[in-house]
Amino acid sequence: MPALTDREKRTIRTAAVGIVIYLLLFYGLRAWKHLETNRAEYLKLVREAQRLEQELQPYENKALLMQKLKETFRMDPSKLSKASLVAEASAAIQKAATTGGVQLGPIRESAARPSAKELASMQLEGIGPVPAVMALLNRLETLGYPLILDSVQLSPEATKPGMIKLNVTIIILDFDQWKIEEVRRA
Amino acid sequence: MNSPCLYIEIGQSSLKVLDGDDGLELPLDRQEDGRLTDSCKERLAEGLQSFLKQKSWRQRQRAFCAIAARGVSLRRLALPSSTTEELQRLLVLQIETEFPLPPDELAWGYSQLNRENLPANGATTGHERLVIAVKREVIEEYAEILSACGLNPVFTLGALARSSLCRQPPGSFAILDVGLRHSELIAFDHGAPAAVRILPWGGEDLTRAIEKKLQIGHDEAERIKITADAASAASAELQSQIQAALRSELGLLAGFINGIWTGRKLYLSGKSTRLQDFAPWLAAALGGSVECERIEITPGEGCSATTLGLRMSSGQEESCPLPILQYKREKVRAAAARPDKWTWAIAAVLLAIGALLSLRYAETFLRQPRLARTLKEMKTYRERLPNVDRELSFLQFLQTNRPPYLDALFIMANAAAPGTRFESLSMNRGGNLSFRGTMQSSQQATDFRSKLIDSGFFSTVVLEEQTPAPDRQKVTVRFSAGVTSQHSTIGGLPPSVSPNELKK
Repeated sequence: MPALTDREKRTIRTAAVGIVIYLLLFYGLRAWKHLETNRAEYLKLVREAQRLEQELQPYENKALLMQKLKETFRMDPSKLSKASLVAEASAAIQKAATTGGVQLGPIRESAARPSAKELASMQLEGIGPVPAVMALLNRLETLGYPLILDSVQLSPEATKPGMIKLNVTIIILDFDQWKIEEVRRA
Repeated sequence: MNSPCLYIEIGQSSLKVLDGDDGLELPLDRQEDGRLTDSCKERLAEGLQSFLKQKSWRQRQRAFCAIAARGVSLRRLALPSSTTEELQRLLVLQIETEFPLPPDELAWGYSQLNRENLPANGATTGHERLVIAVKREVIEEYAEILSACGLNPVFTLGALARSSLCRQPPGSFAILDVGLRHSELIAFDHGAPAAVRILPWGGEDLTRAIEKKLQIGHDEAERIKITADAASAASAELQSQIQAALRSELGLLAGFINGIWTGRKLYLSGKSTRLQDFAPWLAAALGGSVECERIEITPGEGCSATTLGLRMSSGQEESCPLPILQYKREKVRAAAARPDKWTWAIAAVLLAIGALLSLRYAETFLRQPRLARTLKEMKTYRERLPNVDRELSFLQFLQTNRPPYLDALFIMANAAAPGTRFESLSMNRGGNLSFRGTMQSSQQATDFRSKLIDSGFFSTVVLEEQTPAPDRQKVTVRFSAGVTSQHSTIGGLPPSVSPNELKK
């Protein structure tokens, strides 16, 4: 291969520089446009995230309060099943009474008022010592079911000294009736 | 604006610089192989920088440098007519053939010799070129030092530079430059350089001859050599002894010259040639057929036949007519390319711009995946928000509809006096309470009511009926009461509690 003269070398160098500049301009411009598009998408995401953050900020308080109430009542409303709620609640009440030393009498169930968002109403009668009855009243609050003691009647049992008779009406709430629209209206 | 040029003679034992009317002379220390010692390089750099006072913003000053003839090869090469590019290629081939080292390891230059005898139009005769070459390392060593001092050096042969000061006779002539320990002789044939030689004879030999003849010390001999004219008036005997010594040494020098050159005219340069009878005694020693003539130069620091010859050569034409030594400037370029502060500043600015641009786009690549993931989680959470509202509403309803039965019983038990008997007690979700029982006296009933009201738990307490028993030992009572609204719920939390309180 013949040696290149200085002029030929200079020509080759100039051509190489020209090609490099052309390639830089051609591909550089495309790369720059691509990068700018990516950046615009990224900025759009940032703005959306900021908007969502502002939107969700008020719910922080609500979420914490809800968690606290769930812990207090030992209940997760979303896991309540309407089909078996009454049976499960009744069984839990009877079990709590039995283990607490309260002798249960007749239990009457009746359909509750749907307009009052109630699923069922139960009337229980029982006999037991004062501490056991008081403990049962306390435990009914935290059985893990949406129970409200509508009324409580206490009276001494004449035939059994030291024992009191309990007559309590319990309402079981229906979570399904808490519709979104009603929540918003409330 | 062109800055004035600098003229430098790099001899065997000294370096002379001529910058306009200013001059500088620095001694050189060399190793056995002729290379400069490290201490000498440092001293040279310091001395030159101090002399030049080069400003960083100024353009590099061009320096014409004339090197000594030691190690320099001189050839006359006959080449065919060709273009400049072809000539370069031909010269490289010829140098490869004629010189012991390849062209890449040499610093070489050329000049055209027979300009005055250019062929007529259409003729194909060639031209004769004078090529001078020296090992590249020699030039690189000098170039490195000079470049570090902010100069842009070009190199040529000092012996050729001196010829610019001579009136060139038509025949053969030579120039002898007498140095301290060596002399350089360049011979010209019809105006063209024919040969260059180093003679092992210098001004120091004259001093030693006087020292030996008169049996005196070196310094004293040097003083007598310099003041030889004054000595001539002092003592005729002493003068004859000095003359004999000097003539003897010049005979030795003439022997060296006769061995390598025969011509009619010999020009002399160097400090030692300033001796009054140096030229005639040397002419006599050469056989009387040679005319010796000293090249007269203006005395001064940095002034020598070489530096003045360089100045004359470069001043005659736009470019220097002397052959310039060219070489592959690897090391020198590296030294010259040493980045100065401006280069660093520009590099820093470019780097900062690059960093800003890359950060602008790097943020997109680095954070976009994580942001997209977070956004997806937030959207999922938002979809669950209606459930949050619903569950919270349900739980709050449950909380606000649980009457405080046990609290009411606790307060009533505390308020009841000993002997009180509860026959029936009923309460409902609305906070209404009714109680029937017996007490010891009506006073106890009154106290009981007062205590219930004082507890603050009940808003209203009504003693609906108070009936004494038939034996007048007891009082049958019937109460009704209403729980205050603030105590109408149990346990739990009020509907609005701050997040901080909740966290606590």
